[in-house]
Amino acid sequence: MASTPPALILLATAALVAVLPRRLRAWSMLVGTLAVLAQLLLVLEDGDSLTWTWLSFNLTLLRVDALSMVFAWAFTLILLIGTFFSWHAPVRGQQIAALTYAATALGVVFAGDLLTLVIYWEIQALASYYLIVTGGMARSQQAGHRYLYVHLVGGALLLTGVLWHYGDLGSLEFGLFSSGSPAGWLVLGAFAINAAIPPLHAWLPDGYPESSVTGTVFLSALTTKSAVYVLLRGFAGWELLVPVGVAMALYGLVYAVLENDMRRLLSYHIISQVGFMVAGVGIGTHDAINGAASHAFAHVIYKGLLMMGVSAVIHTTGRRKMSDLGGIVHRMRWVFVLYMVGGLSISAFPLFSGFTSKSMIIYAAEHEPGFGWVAYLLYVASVGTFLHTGLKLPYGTWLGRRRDDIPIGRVPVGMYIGMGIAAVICIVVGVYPAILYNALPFETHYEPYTPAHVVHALELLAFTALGFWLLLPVLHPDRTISLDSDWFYRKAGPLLRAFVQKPLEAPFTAAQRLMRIIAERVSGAFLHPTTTWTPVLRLSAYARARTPEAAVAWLARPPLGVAIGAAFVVFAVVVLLAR
Amino acid sequence: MRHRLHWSTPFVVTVLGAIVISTVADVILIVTGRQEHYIWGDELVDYWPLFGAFWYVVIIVSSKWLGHILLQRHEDFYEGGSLSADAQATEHSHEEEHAHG
Repeated sequence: MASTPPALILLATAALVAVLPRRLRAWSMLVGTLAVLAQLLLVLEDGDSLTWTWLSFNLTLLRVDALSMVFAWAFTLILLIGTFFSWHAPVRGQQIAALTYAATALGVVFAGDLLTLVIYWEIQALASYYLIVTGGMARSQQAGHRYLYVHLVGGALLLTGVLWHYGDLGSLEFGLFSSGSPAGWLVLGAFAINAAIPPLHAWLPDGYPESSVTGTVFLSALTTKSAVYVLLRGFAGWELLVPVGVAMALYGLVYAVLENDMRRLLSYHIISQVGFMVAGVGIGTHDAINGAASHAFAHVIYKGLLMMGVSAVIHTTGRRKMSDLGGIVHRMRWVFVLYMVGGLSISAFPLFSGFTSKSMIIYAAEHEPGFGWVAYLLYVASVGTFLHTGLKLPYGTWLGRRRDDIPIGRVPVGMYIGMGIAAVICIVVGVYPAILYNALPFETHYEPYTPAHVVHALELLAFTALGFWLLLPVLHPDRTISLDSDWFYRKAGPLLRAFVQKPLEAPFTAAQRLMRIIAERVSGAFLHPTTTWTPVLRLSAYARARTPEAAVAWLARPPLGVAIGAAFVVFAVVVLLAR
Repeated sequence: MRHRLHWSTPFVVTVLGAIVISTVADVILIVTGRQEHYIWGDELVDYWPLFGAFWYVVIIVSSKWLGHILLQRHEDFYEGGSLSADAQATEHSHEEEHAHG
């Protein structure tokens, strides 16, 4: 088991789920997930590897080090949490997709070569696409297709870059890319799409809110954080990523102010939080890499918790917009409390996980000459994060004037268990950060709980909350959508169809139309053979009969033999022509 | 969310309490010389409260302004005018609200 890639365990579980009856499927998911957790805890060690020669390529299917282990723990824990959260709805396709999705995420973080990475990367896109397209929402199909198109472009970029890289260096080892190489830029483009770096990000707020309430948990955790991992592995220290990350952190805030849909708001905050990590990747120091990795771990858990909180609301009320909600906290008290654990974590409130992880990235920026402005703007982003996720969303969803007219169903026990596990992890990492810090790639001396840091964080958050109170009437969600960069390809779709797709399809469409006309004529001719072929038969009958009475009597019989014979001849002609 | 929160609600009391406590703690830090400096200007007294309040207002105002002049569109913008399923649900919920007074 030491050299068994964890991805294979989950893929085997997915295969098992495909054949098991409904009552055993969730249990099977749980057992598979626990097996991987046990493997991470007891078996895999720094330096473990598994290589395999395929054709002439030396593939590294397993490469274990501290960086890969941090992400592997995060991905496996969110699979465990999501397994409980979706326990009430053991939909076979969704379960298989979720397991495959998590397996590919683990495959990515343990891949030691670029070809293995490409394979897992592409399967990950398909598995996540399935979770969206079968989401059961009004726009799931269209959003899922757009999601797939964007990720297919990303996959093509990655494959091209990897082949270019192999052509240049003759090696497929997955390590740091040298700046300035065309292959590096192509691969970076692919990673940027999955990390949702603007303007390549619109697939995220477009697709994630249209998935099922259970699928969202996996989606919010796996794709973007897999991308953060590969950025850390391949592009640490590329300073271009610093302004890009800061722009991401701020970009999501603007849209979050305008959003009315709960999951779209949280999706924009994924972009904002991943921006912190991308900035950390760009800074590239040991503290920054530690910060990006620890924040990715914390983010997987608390973002999953936030998504679970609003998904529980959608599941029980059937409503997804804040303008249709509010005033229901007295009937969903525990869901609200658990959501707020995630809200305080993402807002970097002391004693919650974001306080110990996000601040490490800012700390790295503060202590690296020339990056003071990065720290400043990341503090600004922190203000916006608390405003939207810790104040606006919970207020608009649960608080406000009490409403008893909104029908609310029962929250399944599994949902509480999933949210409870996530909340416990958020608090444990917040209260005892050493449990995470000891697993980071580099030794850290960062101490989050200094009196000044705690006091300043409380001041920042308290005055943000004060501003929320004072400007509350301005913050009401409008019943609108916000245009984003997907506008370009959504509007370009009809033009592409008119100028590219239709001319290409024209010959095939014409041939298809011609075949249909022929088929209609032939079938019409034999639909009523007595009337269609009467003139011919009449001539034949009169020619063969010796008396007119005999000819009439012969015509009165159904001419089945002639009809079948003629049909056979026509059929033979059609078959010959078709060949 | 259009209505105002009275100052006596638990939320506002908690916020005001946190402001008082954190401000007192900040003064203690300054008096005892245990301040830490992170970014430009934070050696000033009450820098962080002002930072939070200022950027809060900037984020809200600039986002609303951008949304108003450029970004915000009707919910069925991409559906070409026919009401989407969500919009219909929203309208339905409005009707229910009106029906319930």
